[in-house]
Amino acid sequence: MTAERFDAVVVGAGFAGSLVADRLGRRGWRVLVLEAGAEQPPAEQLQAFRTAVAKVPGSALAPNAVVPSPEVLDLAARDGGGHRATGHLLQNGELPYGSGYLRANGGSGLAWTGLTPRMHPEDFRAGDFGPARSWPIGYDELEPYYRAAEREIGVAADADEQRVRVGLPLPEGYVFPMRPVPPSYLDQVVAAGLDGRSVRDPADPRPTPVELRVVGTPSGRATTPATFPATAEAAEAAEAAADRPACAGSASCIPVCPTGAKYTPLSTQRRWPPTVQLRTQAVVSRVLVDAGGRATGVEYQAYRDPASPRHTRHTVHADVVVLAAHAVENARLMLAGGLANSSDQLGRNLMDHPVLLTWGLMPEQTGPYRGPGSTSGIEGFRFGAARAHRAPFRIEIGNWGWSWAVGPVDGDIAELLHRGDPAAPTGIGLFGKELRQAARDRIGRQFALQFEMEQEADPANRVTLDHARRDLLGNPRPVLTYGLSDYVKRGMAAAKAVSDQLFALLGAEDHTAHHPGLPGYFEYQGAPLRFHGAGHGAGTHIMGDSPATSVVDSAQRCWDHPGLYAVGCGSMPSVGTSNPSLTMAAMALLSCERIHQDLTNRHRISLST
Amino acid sequence: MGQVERFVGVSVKLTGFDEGELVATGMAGEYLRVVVERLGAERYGRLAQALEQREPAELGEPADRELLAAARAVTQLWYLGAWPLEPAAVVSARAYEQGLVWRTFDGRAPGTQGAGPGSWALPPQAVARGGAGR
Repeated sequence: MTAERFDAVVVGAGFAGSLVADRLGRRGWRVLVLEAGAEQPPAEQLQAFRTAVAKVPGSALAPNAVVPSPEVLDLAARDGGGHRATGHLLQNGELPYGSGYLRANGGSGLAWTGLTPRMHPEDFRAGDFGPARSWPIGYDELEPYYRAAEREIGVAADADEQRVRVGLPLPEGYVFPMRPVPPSYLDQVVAAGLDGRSVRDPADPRPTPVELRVVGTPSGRATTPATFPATAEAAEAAEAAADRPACAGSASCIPVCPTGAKYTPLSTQRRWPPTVQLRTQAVVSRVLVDAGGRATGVEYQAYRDPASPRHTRHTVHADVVVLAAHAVENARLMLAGGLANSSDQLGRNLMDHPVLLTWGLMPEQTGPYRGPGSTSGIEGFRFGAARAHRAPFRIEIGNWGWSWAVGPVDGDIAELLHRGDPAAPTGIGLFGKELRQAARDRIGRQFALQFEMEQEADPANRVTLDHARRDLLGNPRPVLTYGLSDYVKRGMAAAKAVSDQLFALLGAEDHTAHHPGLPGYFEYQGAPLRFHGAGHGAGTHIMGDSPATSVVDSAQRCWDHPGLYAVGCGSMPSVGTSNPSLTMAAMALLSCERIHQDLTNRHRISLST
Repeated sequence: MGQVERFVGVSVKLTGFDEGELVATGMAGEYLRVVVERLGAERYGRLAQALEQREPAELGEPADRELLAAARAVTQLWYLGAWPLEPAAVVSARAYEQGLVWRTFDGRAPGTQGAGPGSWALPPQAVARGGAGR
């Protein structure tokens, strides 16, 4: 059988892969996208979510034994300390890697919260401030691609607020495609309690208080289109935005938006030109390289039944291979082929945004479980000299009660039905009007704060392969070795101290409690803390300015292999404190320029021979 | 009195929602079927009889332990649209949507029809009264 031939093969139909395919396809290149997971219509995802007993990020997807998605439920604490992982990811680190990802058409971009803050110019120079790595490119080089990504995603935000409150140097006259998402009622309550006040950061040796300000978070969800000056760019943004209805506040961005208001990679796929072909249930098992190290194509395994390992093998040739399968899966694929590792950095520097959650009850009803998961944050701990002492962090105000911090409302109800049982003779639980009132009082006042830490690249945090333990298709499974540095732990301790002050200023009852029996628990200087994964896996094929110390160059091309690109958060040298999807999208668009040049050059060579 | 009416009467005592509110969910008949299937007709009959004579708070005697567990399960069914005892299961997407828990604080089940653009910016009571656009 002769192998098929395309100009480019893209591995993974998630955020980065869908964008790369789109931009190359629009330039006339013939692109094949191979997606390991299955396609599932949004209506089916919604039905699956509503009827799922555990409403976790993967609960909208049908089970897929051939291509399982790592899930938060895969982790459990071990009696007497440590943790235990089941599922796709093997783990052997000091602490559990707490983030999953989705292996399906659309990838984790199906279940993202939809927050799109840019990284700050300072974040690209993280190495000037603390232990995190600096980028080989700066904010200014990525800026035009940020704008292009914001048009593609249809970002809703207020440019003036981003300039003044976050310090982003947005171009003069810049307008985000969509009007800002209204801040939640909770945001307004928090702002009323905090704006203009200040708190102390105990990790900062300078006694300077940090001023508090609740700031709207840019987001990839449709509102109403902004009014544009008449430019081609504005027309493009308006076209992208017209695709989707305004967010109706269904409060289920994770795992599935019922109306399609939230951007997902499927929005980009709907605009793909006919030059782009998608094949789902196609698992790339090997990247092919020639004797000179140039990538020449891939081998993939096609399966029909997600419950059965039966599959057929296929080869596809292409001038350019783009890996866009998630940080962990990109590293896994290159490690399996013995590729791209002359720096010994491949698979290393695994990062996430470790999240400290704190939670409590406001004095009055907050209206939880309404609107997007988060609509505002507090930005004052992201920047400046304090970065030398502790990990910087961004504070998200969580609109969905204690669902992430403690669990869904099911737990609240179960607790009320057992309140006082069995010790007190009359304490047999609450029923009737008492129960109804107690549920209102208990759930209706809930809120949570989500402190997302920058985690620096640490070569010891890494992805390796276990050749003895393979998945159903016979491919070696990924092993994660993960931990938190003292820099991150100091950041979390500082965040907890900040949280205590915020709760006091808000007059809120603090219910935060971190217990050893839960995965992610640790103690730092005697204080009990616990971190969660943010789902922001990054850093496994880190970008740099030298092939000796990095896996990809600033255009995300593998130093060791002409024609091979590894795109996505895996390329990030440091992750700042911004949710990374927008930056990943901007990087992918930047790479497309280089890939287009590569393809043009290859084309010229083949025409002249 | 019909079986469903009797079940609704018992459920009023458990949930704190009145008959009209429970009937309006459209779930009473289906929930009765689930309860009889999961508890068994005999145990459900004893629960219904007990609650016709006493309040749920009076199920505190050791002899009532089994009925108390059943009372909690029926209440959770109404509040969450899911049967809580093993094997736990959401009755249906519609049952999830009709969970009473969300109404206790003027909310709606996540992943169902939202209250409309910008509704989350208003105090929750204002939205429950129809203050936000649909």
